[in-house]
Amino acid sequence: MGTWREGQKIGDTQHIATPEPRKSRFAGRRWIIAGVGTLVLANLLAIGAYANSRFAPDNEGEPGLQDAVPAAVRDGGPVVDTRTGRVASHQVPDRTIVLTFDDGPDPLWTPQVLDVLHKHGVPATFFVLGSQTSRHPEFVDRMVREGHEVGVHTFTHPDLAGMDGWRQRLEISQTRSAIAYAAGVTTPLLRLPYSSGVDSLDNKHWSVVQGAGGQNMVSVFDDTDSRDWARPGVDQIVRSSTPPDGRGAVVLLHDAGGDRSQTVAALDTFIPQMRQRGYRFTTVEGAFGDQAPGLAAGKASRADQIRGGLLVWAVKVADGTNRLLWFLLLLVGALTLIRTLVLFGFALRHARRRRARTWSWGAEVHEPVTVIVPAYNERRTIAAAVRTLATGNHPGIEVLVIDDESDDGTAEEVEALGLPNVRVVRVPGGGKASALNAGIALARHDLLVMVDADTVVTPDAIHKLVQPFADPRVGAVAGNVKVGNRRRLIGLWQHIEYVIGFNLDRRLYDTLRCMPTIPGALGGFRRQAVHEAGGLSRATLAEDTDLTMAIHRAGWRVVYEETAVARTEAPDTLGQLWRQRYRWSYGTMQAMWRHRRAVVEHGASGRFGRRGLPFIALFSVVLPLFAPVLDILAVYGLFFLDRVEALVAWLVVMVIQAVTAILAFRLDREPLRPLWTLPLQQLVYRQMMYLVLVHAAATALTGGLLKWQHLRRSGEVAAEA
Amino acid sequence: MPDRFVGRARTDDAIRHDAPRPTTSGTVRGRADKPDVATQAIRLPDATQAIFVDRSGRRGRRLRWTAYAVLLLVLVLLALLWLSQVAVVG
Repeated sequence: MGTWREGQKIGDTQHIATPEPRKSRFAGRRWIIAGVGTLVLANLLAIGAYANSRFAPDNEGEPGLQDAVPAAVRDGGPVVDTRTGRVASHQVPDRTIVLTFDDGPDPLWTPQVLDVLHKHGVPATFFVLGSQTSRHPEFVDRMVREGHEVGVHTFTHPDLAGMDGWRQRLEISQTRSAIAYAAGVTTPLLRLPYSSGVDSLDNKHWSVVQGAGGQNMVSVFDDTDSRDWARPGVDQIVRSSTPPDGRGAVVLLHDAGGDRSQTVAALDTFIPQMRQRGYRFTTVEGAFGDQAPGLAAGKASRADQIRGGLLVWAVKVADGTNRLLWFLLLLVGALTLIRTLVLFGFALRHARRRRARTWSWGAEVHEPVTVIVPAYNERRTIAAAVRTLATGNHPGIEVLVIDDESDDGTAEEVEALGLPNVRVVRVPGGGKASALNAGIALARHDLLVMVDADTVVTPDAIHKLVQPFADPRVGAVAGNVKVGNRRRLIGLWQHIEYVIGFNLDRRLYDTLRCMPTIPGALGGFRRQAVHEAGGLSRATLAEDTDLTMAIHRAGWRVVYEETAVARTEAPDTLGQLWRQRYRWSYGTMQAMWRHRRAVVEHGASGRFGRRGLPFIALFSVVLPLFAPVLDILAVYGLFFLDRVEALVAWLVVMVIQAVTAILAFRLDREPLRPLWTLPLQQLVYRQMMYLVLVHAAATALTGGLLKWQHLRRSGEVAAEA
Repeated sequence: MPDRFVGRARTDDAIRHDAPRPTTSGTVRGRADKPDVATQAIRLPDATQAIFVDRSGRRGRRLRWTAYAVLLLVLVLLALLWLSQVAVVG
């Protein structure tokens, strides 16, 4: 005796015919890979958050104490050089304009600014942000190629005055590296974020200027502020930018950070107007090079370029990851919303139709039924299960227990009951599918009911379950299975899941005629339908799902009868639950893959393949597989975004879950008390289900052999029966 | 009614004209039917073949090593990135 597969004996007695896989050397490393993957994702999210730091546009605040700022600087020119340790301030020569643009590059406005400058043949100085340079290095390259000058405006536009020294150095060095990668040049020019003229320089910012000098940077302020960030109109920008009395000026403008159409239009007016007044346009180096040597851009070293390349690509990949996650969030959100609305609509309609007085499957079915109970080492639960089945009020119930070579006295336990309508058949250990096939072959009647050995039924369950067979098109019926052991938290969570699954999902599937699974715990079948479906296969680990799909493809209707109620024993530890769901997920994927040809077939098979399979794949595999994005972005939001917004978004999701659960409980007339565990379920149970699905998908991809384990029975449900 | 030839047809095969005699050399010579290489037994699909399972383990090994390589590359790049930042501000 034993279990055979592919012509080979693969094991002795087992509950299900799958061999024990070898202990994989890879098993322990899975967690390492998962850990490293999580670490990489966390890094990318952190880099993305850093590069996406929000900042306010430039504005004028009141300066602080200014007593430490030398008077020569406060009353001097806009270029302050502290590189040599000595303070030097330089004025713009008369009738000279230095156009400076902050906050870019921007993919929309920077090219327009460059076009206007090119049209008038005017050079300018662009103080770029490192983060923006990382995203659009091509515009920085264009600036340098067209003869413009590039300076540093920090990486993320923070107010450097409030930061530690290392952070200030990091902001400047990162931006220089990004420029080095983008344009192959290194620059000594710096403009501090939120700075304006030197007269507003206070003590805190003065220390930043001195620190920048230590990094060989020259700080550039402005003489005239166009105030274009406030979008005051083209004429006002021109007026604000114009220096008085033929004096020279460093003009502050912006090529990013908002709508810059007024800036572009103002430039087109400002340049010819100032030229008419005898002004010349130049860069910072062009205006101050004679007074302050070493302002020209130099060639970037290879090391700087490599460092910049790493940074630029890190930002690009982080941005891409961020975009992907947000896209997935939208997709998951939209699918969840659609599914919830569809569930509500269809479930309510289904319930209303079934509860109508006029509803009937047809003439009452009294045909005898064979109830097949496959059992392997179920001594603790089998007696209660068989007793509730055999004493049901349907006329002519035959209970056929198929003992799959149990060694705990399961068969003897049944025989000891001495019930006249119960037969025990001992078969060689071949697994659940083989046992059920044997039961089908030995059944005396044409209506079959398959029930798990850990499940007890209500007295009228079998009678109600077979009523849909009044319709000759119905080939299989799903019963309403509930979790019987609800004393522990894990049982309550599964109870909630079962009630939602059976009262909303199954009603929806019933309406759409794409029921993916007749539960092994309680399902009714027409023998002819099972035969046409080819019986139960051992090719998948979800033989119930596989059989249900095959029955669909054979052209039979598969329906849900919510009044046929059974209570089953659910796993009572997280480890057992993990193993059960891992098998279910893997088995469902196997069954879908096995029936994939239905998509291109004609007739009933094609109808199921094109309507049911994509629906099942979308909502049973794809949506749960991507659903973790909800939790990832909730955590991301708590750390890097507005915490209140993130919390509200997460609470909205929970409210949707709660409303869904309440509806399901009301439809099933279940007390709402267990729903107090719902918030906790969203924090532990849901995430565990994600991981199980990912685990199953990984096993399917790698071709690993899934291990079947016989779940430990507590006998709690049987004891209460 | 035309004459009907009943019996063995004549053949040019020289060997068949020879009278049977014991072999004179150590090497056994003769004719044997050629093996039928054109026909092969049909291998029926195994209904118990587990779906997705790759018993050779080749697919899993390839995917695993690809994952290792990608993760290692990403880890090295991340380490380089962080080190290059720390080196400048340190």
